[in-house]
Amino acid sequence: MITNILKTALLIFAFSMSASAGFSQAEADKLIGVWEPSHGKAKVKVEKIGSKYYGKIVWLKEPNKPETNEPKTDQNNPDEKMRSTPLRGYRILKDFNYTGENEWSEGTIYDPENGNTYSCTIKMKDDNTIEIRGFIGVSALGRTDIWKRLQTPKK
Amino acid sequence: MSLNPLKQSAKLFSFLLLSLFLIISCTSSKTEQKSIDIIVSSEGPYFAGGNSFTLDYQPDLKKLIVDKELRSEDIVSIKLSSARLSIPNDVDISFSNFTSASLQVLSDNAPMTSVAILNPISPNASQAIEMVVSDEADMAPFFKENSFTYLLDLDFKEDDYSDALKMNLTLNLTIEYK
Repeated sequence: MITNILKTALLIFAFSMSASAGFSQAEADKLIGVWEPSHGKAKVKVEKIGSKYYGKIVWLKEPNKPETNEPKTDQNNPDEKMRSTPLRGYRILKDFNYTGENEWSEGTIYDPENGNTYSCTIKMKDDNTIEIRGFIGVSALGRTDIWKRLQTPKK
Repeated sequence: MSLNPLKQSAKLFSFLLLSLFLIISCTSSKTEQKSIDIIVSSEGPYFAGGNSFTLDYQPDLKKLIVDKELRSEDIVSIKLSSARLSIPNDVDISFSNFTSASLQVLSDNAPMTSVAILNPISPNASQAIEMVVSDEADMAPFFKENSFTYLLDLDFKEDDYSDALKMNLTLNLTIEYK
């Protein structure tokens, strides 16, 4: 009798754990897609690699250097040898973990215009809007930008 | 009964010398070169722009240097000294299909790190190219983990409808250890 009750309890526990994990995974993957920062100069595609989320530049309003008409590179990278890395394809969002309640944290955001990397959290306000907060040290000392999901035209 | 000043100085000097020897012997490190060959792969189709090739890799510190069963705490740094990218003989593609290549490493616990780049890739490149490696990127945190991922981004000039592709990488590592 007791064994049966224990078995049932274990089954219910296992089922609830797997259900909650599945729900959490679907929530976490909502970040995947193409997003446009408020300045409108780039589009960033978020993808999942391993267990974390990364965002790379897939479109630039001005893809080429005006002086040479060559594709822009990461000319402000603190590591001089990496400065020839093309900006298109560059991962500016790195290492985000889903921490629940529509929030991804523990990641960084890179600003190619000054070569600085900031700690970063992402909060999804609705399915098509995220708040990206870059900061140094504590989250209170930072700046927030609103990014919109790229809407593909319906065929 | 006091020692004469000369003997005192000699004792002090010996003590300092011994301390210095102990400090140096405790902090000095050695370096060793190690070459590893890996294959990164990806499933197609491939569209113009960046496409990622990956390999999940399980490092074995004990086999990293012959006759040295390294422990995690022995490793000071692991840096890439060269990275050679080549196309396997059975893969029907050439470097003229690509504009750039960049290599990163990533894991659950360490932040993604760029370790090598080549941009642009010469359209005349043969079946192998040498990438430019970072002087600063330290791969030690990755080798101290149970597993990490090599991520090669290849920038395709145009769409390619291959089902799957693979690339060879020969990585020369400079390992600094205690």
